[in-house]
Amino acid sequence: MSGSLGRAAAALLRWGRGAGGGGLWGPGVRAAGSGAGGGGSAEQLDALVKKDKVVVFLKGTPEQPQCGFSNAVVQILRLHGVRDYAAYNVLDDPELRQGIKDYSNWPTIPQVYLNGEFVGGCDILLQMHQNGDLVEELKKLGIHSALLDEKKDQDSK
Amino acid sequence: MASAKSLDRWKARLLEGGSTALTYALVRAEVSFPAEVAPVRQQGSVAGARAGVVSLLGCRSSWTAAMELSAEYLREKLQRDLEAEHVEVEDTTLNRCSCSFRVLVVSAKFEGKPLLQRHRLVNACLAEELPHIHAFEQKTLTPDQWARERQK
Repeated sequence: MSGSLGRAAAALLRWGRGAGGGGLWGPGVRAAGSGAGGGGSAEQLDALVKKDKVVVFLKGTPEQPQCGFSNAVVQILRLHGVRDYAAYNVLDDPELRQGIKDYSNWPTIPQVYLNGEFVGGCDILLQMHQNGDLVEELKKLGIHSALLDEKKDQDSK
Repeated sequence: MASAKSLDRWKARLLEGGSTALTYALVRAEVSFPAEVAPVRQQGSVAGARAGVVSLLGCRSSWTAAMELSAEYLREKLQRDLEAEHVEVEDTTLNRCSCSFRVLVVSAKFEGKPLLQRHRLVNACLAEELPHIHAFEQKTLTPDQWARERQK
């Protein structure tokens, strides 16, 4: 148990060192900053969610989530070693905040999209993480989950 | 008391399962902390509407005391509308400025349905209430899944 905890903590620290400035969140920053990118029509949102393999709409930023559930989504993606994803801060854009709820017909933030398809919020992502579905979905996108490496390490002992 | 015990057992089972239990605990621990921060922001953004309001009666004049948003009210509504054989609702509110709930719903209506669709059923059932709930967590199980969990 303590060994696993150490490895998980180490993984988190490695991610922290690898962040390298704000570049990783470029798509989020640009989209949130420009009027054209924010809120708006279903067509615009459709383009937004399909622009990247993994897209997250959250309260705050991945570095500073402003609510527990947005933070949980960020942590889950971090555990899987997913770094190159688009993150849009709905607190910066009220039109986006309501627009994405209408688009997905889902009442809450955060929302997660994989390959342009709405997956769900924090609860669903957490359950997918627990039951292994998230590893499989990431694999379909050509993304290798860091948890597979962790599992391999455990198996080799 | 029976319900509380059952809820505790549910929580305990959620934490079982080896490495997933650890990662779950990590995520859960992270979730718990920022939740203390979020209500502050929520409160700020609707200060005018929420200042001094102890209950939601002031916000929705059509509600009577009997319909005040509560764990029992949510439990009864989910049980009735989703024909659930078992419902547990935990009020996870950390302060009086916002509502927070965690629900477990067991219903045959979930059979054959993927997770997203199940959650949509619950969301639709509580469509009128969700706008007033700051944080909402749900777990949806079929009777078979529930029976298997209770056997563990």
